Formats: sequence, C-alpha cells, structure tokens
Amino acid sequence: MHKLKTTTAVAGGLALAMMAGGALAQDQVTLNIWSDTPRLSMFELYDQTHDNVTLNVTTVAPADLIAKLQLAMQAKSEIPDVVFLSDIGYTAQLSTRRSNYLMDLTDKVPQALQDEFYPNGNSPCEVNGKLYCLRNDLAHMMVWYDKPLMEKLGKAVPTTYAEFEALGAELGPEGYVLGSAVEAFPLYSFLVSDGCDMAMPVEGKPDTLKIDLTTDKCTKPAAMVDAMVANGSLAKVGPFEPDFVNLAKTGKVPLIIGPTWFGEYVIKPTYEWPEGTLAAAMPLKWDDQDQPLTWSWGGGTYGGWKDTAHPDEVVDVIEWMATDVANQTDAVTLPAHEPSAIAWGAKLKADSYYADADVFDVEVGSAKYSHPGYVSLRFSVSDAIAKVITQGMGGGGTVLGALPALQTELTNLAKLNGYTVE
Amino acid sequence: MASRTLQSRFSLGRFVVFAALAFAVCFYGIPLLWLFMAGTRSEASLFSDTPFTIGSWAAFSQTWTNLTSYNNFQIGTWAANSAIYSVGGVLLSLVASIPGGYALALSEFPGRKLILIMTMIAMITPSTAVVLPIFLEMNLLGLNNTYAGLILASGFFPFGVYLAYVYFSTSLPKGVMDSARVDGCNRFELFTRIALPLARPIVALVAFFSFLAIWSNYFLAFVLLSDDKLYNLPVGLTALVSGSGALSNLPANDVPIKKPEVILAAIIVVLPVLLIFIVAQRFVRSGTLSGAEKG
Amino acid sequence: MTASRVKQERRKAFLDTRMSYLLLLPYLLLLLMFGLVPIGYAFGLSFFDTIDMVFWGPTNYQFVFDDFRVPASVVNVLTFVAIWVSMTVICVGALSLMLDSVGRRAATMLRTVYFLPGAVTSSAIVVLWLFVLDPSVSPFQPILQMVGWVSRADVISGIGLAGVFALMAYFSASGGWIVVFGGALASLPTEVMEAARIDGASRLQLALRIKLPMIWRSIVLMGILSFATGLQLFVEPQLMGMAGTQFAQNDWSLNQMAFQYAFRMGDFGASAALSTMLVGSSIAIALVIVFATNFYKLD
Repeated sequence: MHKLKTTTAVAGGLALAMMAGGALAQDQVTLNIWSDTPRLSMFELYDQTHDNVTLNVTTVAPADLIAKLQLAMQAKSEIPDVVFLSDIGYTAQLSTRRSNYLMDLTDKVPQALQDEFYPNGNSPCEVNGKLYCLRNDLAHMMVWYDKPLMEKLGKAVPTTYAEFEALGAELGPEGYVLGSAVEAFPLYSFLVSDGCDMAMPVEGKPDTLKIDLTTDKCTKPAAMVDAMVANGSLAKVGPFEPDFVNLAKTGKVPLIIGPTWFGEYVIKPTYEWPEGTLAAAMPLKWDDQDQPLTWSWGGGTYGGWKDTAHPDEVVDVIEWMATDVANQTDAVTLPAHEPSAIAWGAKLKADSYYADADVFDVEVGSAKYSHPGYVSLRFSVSDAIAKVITQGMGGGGTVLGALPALQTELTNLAKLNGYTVE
Repeated sequence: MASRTLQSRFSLGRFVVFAALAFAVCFYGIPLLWLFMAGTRSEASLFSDTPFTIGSWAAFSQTWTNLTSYNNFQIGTWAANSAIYSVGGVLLSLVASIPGGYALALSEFPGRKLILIMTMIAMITPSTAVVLPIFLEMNLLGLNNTYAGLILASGFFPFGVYLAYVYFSTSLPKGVMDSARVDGCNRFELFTRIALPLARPIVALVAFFSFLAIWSNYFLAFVLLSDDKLYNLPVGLTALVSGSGALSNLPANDVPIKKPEVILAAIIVVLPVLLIFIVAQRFVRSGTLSGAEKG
Repeated sequence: MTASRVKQERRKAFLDTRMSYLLLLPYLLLLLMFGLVPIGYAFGLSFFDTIDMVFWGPTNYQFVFDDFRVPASVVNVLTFVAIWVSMTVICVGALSLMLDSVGRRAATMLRTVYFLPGAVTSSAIVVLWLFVLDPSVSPFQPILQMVGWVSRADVISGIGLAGVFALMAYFSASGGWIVVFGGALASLPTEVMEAARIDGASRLQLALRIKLPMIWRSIVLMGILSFATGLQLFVEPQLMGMAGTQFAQNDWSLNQMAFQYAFRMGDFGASAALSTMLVGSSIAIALVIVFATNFYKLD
C-alpha cells in the first residue's frame, strides 16, 4: 500500500489550527484510494495540500479494478472511498444492482462546475441521466499527419472522409498507409463516424440501446474501410505492432487518425517521428454532415463509493482531481475540464517538437465534436468488434460482410446485460 | 540379411530420434533463448532488428533501472514476498503431503478410498470455482492480506499427496516394514524411522512441484492480496505491466515500463525456477512417478 | 494380507486407523478448508440470488443456459481439448520414449530444456507469445514466413485460436510430464530390457513393444488429467486480452465466462452455477480415473 508521508501535512495543519486562535485541530479523515500508476502523483499532491485529509493510496492495475472491487464488496472490507476508473465502461458496470458501488454525484457536484467540462466530456459518466463520476481526460480522435511528408507527396490534408478515402486510393498502391483497420478502437471510430446506431443510448429511455447496423450510416463507413484495406491504405496490423511501427518509422505513414494522446505517447516515443514533422488537423466529416462527429479512445474518470463514511471529502477529492487547475496542469493527458486544459496546453504550445504551434488548439477545438454516444455500457462493444470483425478479417472477411454478425452479437450482449434493444 | 535390415533400420531410427529431439529442443528452447536475449535489447531493437540480436549493456542497464526504480524498488519487496510465500507454502505442503501420502499408501482403513477420490477431485477442480469461497473464508478468519493466509491456501497441494501416495505404495520395502512392525514399532515410528529416511526423493519432488506452483501462483494471490506491499512477483509484475499499458498498448502515461522492462520482469520470475530445477534435477528424476505402473 | 490382519487384531486396527488419521491430519484440514468447504459453498451459492440471499432454485442455471455465448464456448473448449490432449499424448509419449533411448547425460540435459518453459508464467507468457506469433519479430520468423504468414492476425487465423491456445498450453505444461515420464521409464525393471536386448530387439522395438505397454497406463492417466484440466482452460485466452483490444477473448472458454459472471457482472450465483457444472464434469472424470485404474487399490 502506498501510504503517504503525512508528517509535514500534519504539522502544517497544526500550525493553521493554532493560528485560528487555538481552535481544535480539524478531525483527520483518512480515505482509501485506488489509483493507477500515472495518477499516483496527483493523489499525492492532494494529500500534501489538504491538511484534514490523509489519503491511503493503493495502486491497482486498471484491468483488475472491477474484480478487486467485487471482492472488496463481497468481503465488506477495504472498500476504497475513491477510485480512478481507467475504462469508461466501468461506470455502468459499477452502478448495477449486482455491483452497486458508485456514488450518485448528480446533486453533489455543482452544475456550474459540471458546465466547465468540454461538451460531452462527462457523457461517459452519465448512466440513465445520473452523473456517477467526473472525467479526467479527453481522448477524442483527430487527424495526425507528417507535415513535410505530406508536402513532399504534394497532398492536402483531408477534411472529409471522401477526401480521406481518395487519398488512400492514391497513396495505398504506392505503399503508404493511413492507419490500421484491425485495432478495435480505430475501427469502432470509423464505423460510428456518420452516426451509425451501434449500441447507442436512447434519449429519455433508461437502459435502452439502439442497435441497427443495416443503415447507410453504418454501411458507408464499413465499405470505406473495406476499400481502403483492399488498396492497402489501411493496414491489417494494429498500430502498435512491429510491422506498423516500422512503417511509421520509415516514412510510410503520412497521416493517421488517432486520439488526442497519440502525438505525445505513440508518435513521439514509438514512431519516433523527428522534431518538426508532426502536425494535427480537425476530425473528418462525411459529406452529409455539417460538422464532424468524433469517437474517443480512452479517457479515465474518478468515482466514489456510495456508502463511504466521508461523502463530503470523497466528493472534494473527486472534484479536485478532475478540476483543480494547478493539479491538472501537469497531468499526462488532455484534461476534460476546460480551464485545466487551457493551463495544461501551455506546455504543448511551447513544445518545439510539433511542426505547428496549433496542435493544442486542434485538440481543444475538436473537443466539441465529441460523439454524445461515447457513453459507459455494461458490455464492451470494442471486444465484440475484435471478436466478430477483426478475427474474420484475418481470414479475408470484410467489415461490411461482418456487420450482420456484429448486430446479432451486440443485440445478444445488450439483452444479456439487461438492456432493452430497439 | 535380417541383421543388415535391422542395422539400417537402426541407424535410420537413430536419425529420426535425434532429429525429433533436436526439433523439440528448438520448439522449447528457442523462445526461451530469445527471451533471455531480448532482456538486453531496447524497444526499438525488439521491433526492428532480427530476432536474435544481442542488445547492449546500456540498454540492459537502462531497462534494469526503469524496472527497479518503480515505486522505490518495489519489485524487491515482491521478490522477498514471493520467497516467503514459497518457503512457507512448500514447507506446509510437505508437512501435509508426505505423512498423508504415507498413511494412504501403507494400509487400508475406513475412509481411505474417499480421501483418495477427493484428492483426485481436488487435483482437477478449476480454480475459479473455489477462489471466491476461499476468499470469503479467509476474510472470515481475518487472513486476507496476510502472509499466513496465502501460505495456508497454497500449502494445500493435492498433487503432492498423490505423488507421495504413489511413491510410498511402490517403494516402501514391505519386508523391512513388516519386521519393524513385529519389533513393536507403531505406524508413526515406522514413518519416522523407516519411511522418512527413504523419502528424500519424494520430498524433493513434492517440494519442487509445489515450489513451482506457488512461485508462479497468480490467481489465488491476486484474490487474497489487495495490499500491494504484500504482492508476490507474478501479481506485482502483472499489475505493473497492465498499469503501464506496455502490452495492452494504451500507453498514455510516463511510466517507463515498456516491452523491454516487461521482458526483464519475465526473466526475473523465470530465473529462480530455472536455477532450482537444475539443482533439484537429480532428485526430480529419481523420484518421479515411478510407481504409476502398479496394479 | 493387510486386510486379514485388520480383522484379526481389532484393537490394533483401531490404533492403526487412528494413527493413519493423525498422519493425515494436516492434509485433511487443508482439504477441508480449501477443497470441500469451497466446493460445497459454491454449490450452495449456485441456488441463490447473491445480492438479497434469496433461494431461487435453478434460476442461475437457467441464466447460464440462456447465455448465447455458452454454446460457442463449449465448442471452443472441446476443440481446444481435442487438439491439446492429442498433442500431449502423442508428443510427450514419443519424446519420453526417445529420450529414454539416448545417453543418460544427454537425456537429462534435453529434459531440462523441455521443462524450462514451464517456468514461464503470467505476464511473461503474454509477452513471449506476443512476439513468437508475430512473423516480423518472431524467433520462428523463417518458419512463419515460409508458410506465408505476414502478420500476427495471419498466424492466429492460420493456426486457429484453439490451436494457438493448445500450443501455448503444450509449450508450458508438457515439459513437466516429460520429466515425470523420464522417472517412470528409468524405474522400469532393467532385467526385462536386458533380456529383450539380448534377444536382438532394436531400440524401436524395445520402445514400442516393451516400454510403451509398461507406461501405457500412465499415458492414459495423463490424457485424462489433461482432458480434465483442459476443460478448465482459462489462463491462455484470458492473457491474450493483455496484448491489446484486437486480441481480446474474454468469453472464449467456459471458465472465462464463470470469471466474467463473478468479477465483471458481480453475479456470483451464475458464476457458481457454471463452476458447479464444470466441477461436476471434473468429478465425473476423477471417478473414471479412480475406478478405471484401481487407483485406490493397495498392492
């Protein structure tokens, strides 16, 4: 367990109490926290800056969080007061009758504070109209490109999917690749980009999902992916696999659609694009859309335990972690809280690594196009995509051809997990 | 004529045998060889160079530093925990299985058959089925998150009883036992004076297999331990790996745990087993399932 | 022999029984704590709603049978078991016999090599297979490329998931069996071997006609045990998911489904129901082993 050194904090607290005219020192509250590794330093900062609260932080591997919580709830002991949820699906999975963990924050977090988040920033935290968590970071998809390479190739950066497909048709046969078609999330984001009803919540109807993959809105993106796989411009290997990484390192990936964290944590360290090459552009839209609709890949959240002994402190920790500007300034990924994001962005703006200074502006500028359907579900659509589509593609199957099977899989999964399917 | 055919078949046979054994060496050995070499390589080298490249000392020491500096050398704590769990669990499993297997092998008594059947069932029961009840039981006893809890749970090693039972039922010299009995030794004395001195190979064998099981135990340790100070190596390293996104490819963090660190961590887990196997091999060979042919 | 004495000396028999139980005491306590109680508890749990602790009969079983993923998992697991058990029986049997025909020193060394993969566990397995299955970085690169596989997806769809998991399981579990059989073969009576050799039997004949029949029962036992553990397949497909979303196989095997019910959905009743059925099949297999091999019989 990662018990923080609290000596200085306690001493500070005592000093404050004495200054307040001999009033009794505030009651010390100890909260149990489950964090992932990157968030450790942020919880430490809370502990240091809050004299009345001691945080007892345990590092829990993100993938193990739900299982560990189920065990703790079964044992009725060592249940954490605040958790960092690395997967947006966890919110829905932890607010069911069987695993009823999360505290309803709807009335506890002031509306004014909720409004400081980017549009749809907190939709992964809303289940049936109630707010169960606060979002830590955004992770919507945008366009990343190699500026000198695009110039050398004499190509304009696409703004629509039609242009993207056309670019692929030109560059694919020449050995250039514009992304991957097999990693579940990029594929997912293509498929829902035109508003396909792929397990989308229905407004006003609790626990109801719309699943209809037969419409034009679904078949059009699917056909685009198939065409781009056929001409080689979308790779049949994942973006982190050695083959793809080698392509990216050797200048064969002029452009790729990726989430906001792609630049800093994939292209820079893994693809090793040299300084002054990486630039970003707004997410793509379809010709029948007025504005882009962009899916996300990741973005963690903070939640609290509904039966905690210290609800006020729990809410305070959650609010502070997600919205304290000083704290979020040094966060690893783009904060979902707008004032924090602006402070955070200064570093990015000054970073000479990027070819353009506007990368941060693109990141926050595209936040408003975030897909409102990027919500928390009790089952994993991306796992279903991996199972039904990706596996079939290994054997030469197409995305378009796999849509009916995906529809069946998703419908079954939704019903199994207690959703009404429309 | 006949002998010549035999002769040529013989050498062809030898060739097939050596070819097959060599092929198997490749199948089992190459991945391990690769793993050990990969521990010295950087992530870039893993992705771009030919599979059997030896990395550099610099890359290795960087990887080592990254791995060990995580949470102030927490990996050292985990290794120490693993050692504690293993020693405790192995001792307990020996205390339980050697006398147990001996008693089962020595003679018929009421309930013996039932115990053997239950042992067989316990050997093949899926861990997911029992892990939650075990967790709740230990919680009731206040043994979750304690060394004692995991040691107790991992000391239950029905396979060890099975091995000891098979061993004793075939290799106890009946004549010696009988004459000792006539001399007035009771079963316990028979056990301590005659069976135990003969039991060295089976003690080594059970100790080895239970060590292997406990050292690499993930599931039980995962469930019984929630305090990361008490993690064993497999749980700690899996948490570290999954937490850093090094394998799952969601690397949106600054944790310097990438694929080389994961590989080095894997080597750290594998190495003790390897060493112990090489040391224990003499016993393991002589004491194995030698009696399974009975009946 | 022993049985007749038990009849003759009743008091002694009582003492003997008491002594046997005394010797068994530590094991029996552990068996009770970590075998019987948990299995019994899980069985009981399978008839309850675990939130309100209401008895609701076969509802949990009904839920499992209604889960659309279960039939697919059954097929998956049986395919895996078929591949894995035949691989284990044939390869372990053949390799053990071959090892027994070469020099002792060489055999010991080879056995060590065969055994070592058994030491590779948990996250180490994932990272190892991640690379092994990827033609662009695999240590088996030449072979994979010869077959014409260029990406990991090709390899996985080429071998099939069941085949991949069988390979993974075989890789780590077979070495232990080879070591065990090494001991078994070494302890075969040398007189018989000598006699056969003097009669002019070749090594192949020796292996097939003399040694194989003598270890045949152990091989069958290994096959049945592998079958039983194979039904419980969990680790290999579960660990695949650590390698990234495109390889996630969270509901591939039955045991994974039991895990999902409990640790994802918090439905410990349904999990217990599925586990009970799995344990039931294990028990059936255990009984087959016990009675078919006269496992409990004393010489």
